[in-house]
Amino acid sequence: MFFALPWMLLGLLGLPALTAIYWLRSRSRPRVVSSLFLWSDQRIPRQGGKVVEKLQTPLIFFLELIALAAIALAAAAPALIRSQYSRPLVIVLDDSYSMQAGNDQTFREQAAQKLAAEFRRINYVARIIVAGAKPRLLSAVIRTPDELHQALKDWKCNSPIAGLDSAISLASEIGGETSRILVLSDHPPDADLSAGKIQWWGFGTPLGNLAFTAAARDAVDGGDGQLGDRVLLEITNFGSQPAQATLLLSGMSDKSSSRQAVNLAAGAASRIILNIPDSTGILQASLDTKDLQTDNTVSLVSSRKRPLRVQLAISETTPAAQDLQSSLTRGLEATGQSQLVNVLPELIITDHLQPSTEGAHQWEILTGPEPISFEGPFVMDRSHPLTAGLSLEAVIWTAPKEVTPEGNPIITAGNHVLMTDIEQVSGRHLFQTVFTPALSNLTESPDWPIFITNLVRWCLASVPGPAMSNVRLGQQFKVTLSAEAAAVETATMTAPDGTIQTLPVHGKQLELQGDMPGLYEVKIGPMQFPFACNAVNAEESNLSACETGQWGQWNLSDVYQDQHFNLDWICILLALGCLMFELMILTGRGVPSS
Amino acid sequence: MPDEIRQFLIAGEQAGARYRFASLGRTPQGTAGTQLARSAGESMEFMEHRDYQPGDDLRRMNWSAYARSDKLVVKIFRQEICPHFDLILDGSKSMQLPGTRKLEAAVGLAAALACAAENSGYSRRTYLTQDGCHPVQGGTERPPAWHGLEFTSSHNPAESFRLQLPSLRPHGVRVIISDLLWMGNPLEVLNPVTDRAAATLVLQVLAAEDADPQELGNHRLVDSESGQSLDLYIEAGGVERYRDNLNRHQQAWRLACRQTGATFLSFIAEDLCQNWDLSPLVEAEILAMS
Repeated sequence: MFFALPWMLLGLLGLPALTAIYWLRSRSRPRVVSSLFLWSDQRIPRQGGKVVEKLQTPLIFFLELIALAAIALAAAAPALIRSQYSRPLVIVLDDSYSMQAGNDQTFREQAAQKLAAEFRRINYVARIIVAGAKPRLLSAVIRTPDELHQALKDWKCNSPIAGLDSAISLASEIGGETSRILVLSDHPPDADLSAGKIQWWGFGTPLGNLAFTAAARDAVDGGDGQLGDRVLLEITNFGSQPAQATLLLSGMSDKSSSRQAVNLAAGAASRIILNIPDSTGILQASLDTKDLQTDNTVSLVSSRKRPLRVQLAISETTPAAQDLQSSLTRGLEATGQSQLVNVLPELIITDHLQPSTEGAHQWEILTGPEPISFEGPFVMDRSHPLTAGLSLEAVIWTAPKEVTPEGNPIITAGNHVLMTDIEQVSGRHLFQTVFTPALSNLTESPDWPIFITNLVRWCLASVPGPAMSNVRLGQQFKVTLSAEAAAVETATMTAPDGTIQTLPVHGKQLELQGDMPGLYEVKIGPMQFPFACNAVNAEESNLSACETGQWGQWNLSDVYQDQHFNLDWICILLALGCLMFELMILTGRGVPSS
Repeated sequence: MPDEIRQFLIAGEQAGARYRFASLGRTPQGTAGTQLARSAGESMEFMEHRDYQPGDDLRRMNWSAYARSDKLVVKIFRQEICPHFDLILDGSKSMQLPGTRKLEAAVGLAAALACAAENSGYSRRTYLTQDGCHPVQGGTERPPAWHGLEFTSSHNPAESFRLQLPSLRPHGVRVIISDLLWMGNPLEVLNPVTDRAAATLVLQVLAAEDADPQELGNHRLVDSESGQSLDLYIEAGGVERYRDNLNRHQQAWRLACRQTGATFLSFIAEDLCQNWDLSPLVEAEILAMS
């Protein structure tokens, strides 16, 4: 049996109040009457006495007591769950890594414990959805605490975020009309859940967590010919009190660890920038706080890539052509990711039509007679990577009238195509641009280095290797495969906990994602590289809004009425019966003659 | 006698000043006639003529009428009477019930009737029942002149009658004022009172609390006269039973009054004292406006 409105049981406080009333009024009040003989046939003493200490308990006292208790019980809406009925339930588990917080017992452990107790108390037919970045059905139908225990082993709480809304939507679709939804999280719901299908259990406690909220490692050129890496670490104190911790850095080139004290005011963040040698393999930084271990450690691997090999093939010797070559050279140097070469180029920039070179992208800048000028902005295909960040505002673009580039237009001025892209069967791209440098100011505009950078990065993306080496937890990234690597059928990824995941290989790219923080090792045929996955999410590391509680009430929802057997009407009938009987007694019609 | 009672007497006298006794069932009589009765008698007041019947006093024969009509006709004269009024007032403690206006009503009603008797030319005597029925000092005077009205007796009127009967004058009008709340045969009181009485009135004066108890709950009921107590939890049903008992008791008195030719009237003290409305006595043809 359960009570839909258990706080109404406070009405039972009326029972001692009624007893007190009877106890107090049991004292007889003296009253002088003219004669006693008219009172002589009363049943005496039915109640009351000479002493106040003795509680008099007439029949109406018990009737009132029963009626009062029945009314209080009826107000609390008692109901029985039909014994043969197993409640359909969809459980939504917060899979974000903040559930791993907690001092003696993590929030996840508390939630699992209470869920198991609930399963022992009530028969459920449950399904579990894990609310990570994407909702995921954890298991088949669960009916027993043992099955629940087995299913919860896959509840890892490693997701960077908890997509509870989408998980609840999925739960509604799976469960249908009559299914309850139970959400287990470390924070309260955003909306009011009264009288709905959803019940929300919170297991969090506000904690002043100190955590890494950003971590990055980039290759930089030292300027003196020395290559190095720059490391950025951001540490935030989410507590309401100042906090201090020790930052431990390990994996430096000298093989030694360094310690650094970190003192942060309440809510403050500190950024630490380190310049480390290029030869440093894996840099590991950790904090010695205890509230949440997941965000206390970050690993950073070297992300240095070799530059793009670019060949400039400008055949014209006119001053305008030389200016164009100069502009291209400056733009390529500014990217810091390119190298001018004459052999084995990966990108060829030329001012004339020439046969494609195998393995290299090609950008052809075409000129011709009867130039015609256009003033920007122009119509651009914003989905193309080369147009990212371009505005071409007030740019004068002069192009030969009769020369029309081939391929898919990227930039057009009205019906005049200015730039096209052709993807060849080998995967290489051929860009064609109609452009008269002497009559244009494109190379002088801010859009020029942007365009060159877009071009270099895009070409680099096709260079075999991972697009990123340090990713956030749950972040997806692509790996461009070499020809040999693309030939294999499967790749293996070794997770930080040692588990090996086999991934199918299709095409020239492979998409990877880290599901837990730490270092991964990927092997795809002859390609082998590490990447680091770090839990750096300020929203999840902020534990100040965590709260323990229960929100929402299933039993108030009409959709579950057929699963209950309400007992309130029995209580009301009992109360009415008692009151009627008392009324009969008081009016003298229900009193026995003896 | 407390001044309070004297005030009650004055109030009652003022209420009764507008009234006199109406013609009662049997003619009150007295030895020295001061009033003309409705019956024929020996006075000089001519009443009527009627045909001669054997045995009539020949001195009453109207010879002039005989000469004119050749019929024997006698003159009838009205009787001269001296009516008397005996008032018996219950002097038990129950008449002085605390928290009620019962004493005020009983004393005032006695004074009003005495005043009405005065207005009717009745001689009066007032008795108070205590340890026997004793005349009230100054009871033949106007009510404010009465002395010794003490309502402290533990005896009810029946017991008082047993101890000492009042010396009631024959053919007089007799009135008993009491709450009648004792258990016993009403005839025990009514028989001596109604014996050779011209008329007898039994006036019951009850407090509102006597007639209709309102307070429910636990009570220790104390008898005002005997001091005995009774612990009771009074419910609505108990009050109902009390009312039934009271009705049966009053019915017994009414029956006894009918048997003895007395007239029974009941008053609620609080109602009576509200404006001293004696209309129930007028409606019962006991009093009339003077």
